[in-house]
Amino acid sequence: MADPIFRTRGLHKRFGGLAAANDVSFEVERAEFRAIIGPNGAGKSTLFNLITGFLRPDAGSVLFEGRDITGTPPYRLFRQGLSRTFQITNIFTNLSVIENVQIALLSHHGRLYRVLQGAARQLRAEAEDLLALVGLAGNPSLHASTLSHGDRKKLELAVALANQPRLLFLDEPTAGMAANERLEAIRMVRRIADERELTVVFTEHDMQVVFAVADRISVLHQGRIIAEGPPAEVRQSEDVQRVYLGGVV
Amino acid sequence: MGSVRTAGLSVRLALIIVAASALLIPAFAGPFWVFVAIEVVVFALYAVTFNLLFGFGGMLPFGHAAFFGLGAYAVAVLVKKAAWHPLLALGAAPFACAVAAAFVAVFCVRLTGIYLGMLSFAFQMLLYTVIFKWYSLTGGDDGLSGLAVPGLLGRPEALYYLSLALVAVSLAFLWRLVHSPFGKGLQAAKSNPHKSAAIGINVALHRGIAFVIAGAFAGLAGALFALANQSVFPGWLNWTASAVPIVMTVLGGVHSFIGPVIGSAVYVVLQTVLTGYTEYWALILGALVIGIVMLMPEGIMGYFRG
Repeated sequence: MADPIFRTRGLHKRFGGLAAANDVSFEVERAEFRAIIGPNGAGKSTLFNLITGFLRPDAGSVLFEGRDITGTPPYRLFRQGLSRTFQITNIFTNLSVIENVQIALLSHHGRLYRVLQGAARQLRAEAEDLLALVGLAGNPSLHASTLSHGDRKKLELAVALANQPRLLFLDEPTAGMAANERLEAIRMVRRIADERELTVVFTEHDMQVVFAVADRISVLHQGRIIAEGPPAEVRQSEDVQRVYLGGVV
Repeated sequence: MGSVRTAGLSVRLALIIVAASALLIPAFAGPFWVFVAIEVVVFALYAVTFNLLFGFGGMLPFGHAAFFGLGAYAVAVLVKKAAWHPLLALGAAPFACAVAAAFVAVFCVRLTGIYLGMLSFAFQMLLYTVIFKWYSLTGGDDGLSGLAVPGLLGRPEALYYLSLALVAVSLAFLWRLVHSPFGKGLQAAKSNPHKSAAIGINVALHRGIAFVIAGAFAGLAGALFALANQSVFPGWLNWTASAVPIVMTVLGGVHSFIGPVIGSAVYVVLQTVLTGYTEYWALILGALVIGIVMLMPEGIMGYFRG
């Protein structure tokens, strides 16, 4: 691959007798839109947690722009231009919509340790721009807990973009959405990624969504990558069909 | 926005009324009620430092009295054993408590829930035992007395105004802190530690800094209380003492900066009045707390804000 922005080498993680990640090596090219698919329990979220510092791998390494980031705590990765969202929507329900974005912006701008100035007016315009970018209309001063599920997903995306990431991991960005909303949601992510030359790695259950937008697809099964390639190729793969249709290894 | 501005106005009006009445108390009240007023003011600060950790930081330290007590004993020991001027000792106490809080924080901030609570409780009991047993330094069970501030400043009114001024400045700082980027980060870490880490917040460090600040100001409250009483007692940092700021905070409202201040006033005045009638004052207080928790779970402030 010409210019991989990111790669893992031989990632292993065991939980008791279960190999949640088993020799996972893959690379992602700059500005690529990569899907990771696999049945429930395939290890997608574990893989994300290993890469983004929430879990420490038993073996293997993670490289971001050539630097080894294995075991780097998540808060440092955010400052280095890597960002992520969570499978179960994760927003700050005790803050307002705009405060959710502002706190991420304050963090990105290194202002977290300012104690003597009010936070309310800081970086407000930038926060409003991000909300507009993800199409979150409505009153930004409302409590984030009042948002609908779809709007929470949008807010989470706006927050994840606050550090102007070069690499973004989205764990099931369309989870919990109605079928007709999913395609629209992922196309918006794709549009934003293309505009910003942002590299995106996302997990997704809806195959229609995956085949519509992904440049390449990695198929994870029982902690292993069993197939990888452009959508047309992966769709034809017998291994993939077996995993999804027959449930046999 | 209009409603926000009106709310701002009424808050300002309420602040002016409270400030005016606070300033006038010594003109109308005798020394006994002036002392009660000092207690209200000092415990207001103490309860707010507890709520910085609990309401804003999501930590429930069962041993917060350690820092209140340490502040009081720092003053007492420096005055009685090192012959410092009481006001100099008052200035030093918060720093001693900040150092102690930093030490406790190293162990506590990575824990959550009951584990953090119990570990902070353990440090408090450790400190209590040291103070209780180290008779030569602390006076043990008897405590230390004779901490009178010399000169005019030792008069109850003067001590009251000193406490009022220091607590007002401290509360203004803490109010700023809660609304600062740091304070928002603390609230984010309370709401969702994982998400906080994912957006670049070093959750342990953030909590640790809050812990140190809360410890330092709780120490200032304890130091002021020592000067007002002219003595210190080991009971101030016994485990039952840690319940006091918790009760005040629940009474006044957890999700409000000013809630614990209201809670302190209600608690102290009620206790003072009730002890005049019955030794079972705690029974009535207990019933009040149950009533508040059942009927106004957001405390007095939460109730009035609707």
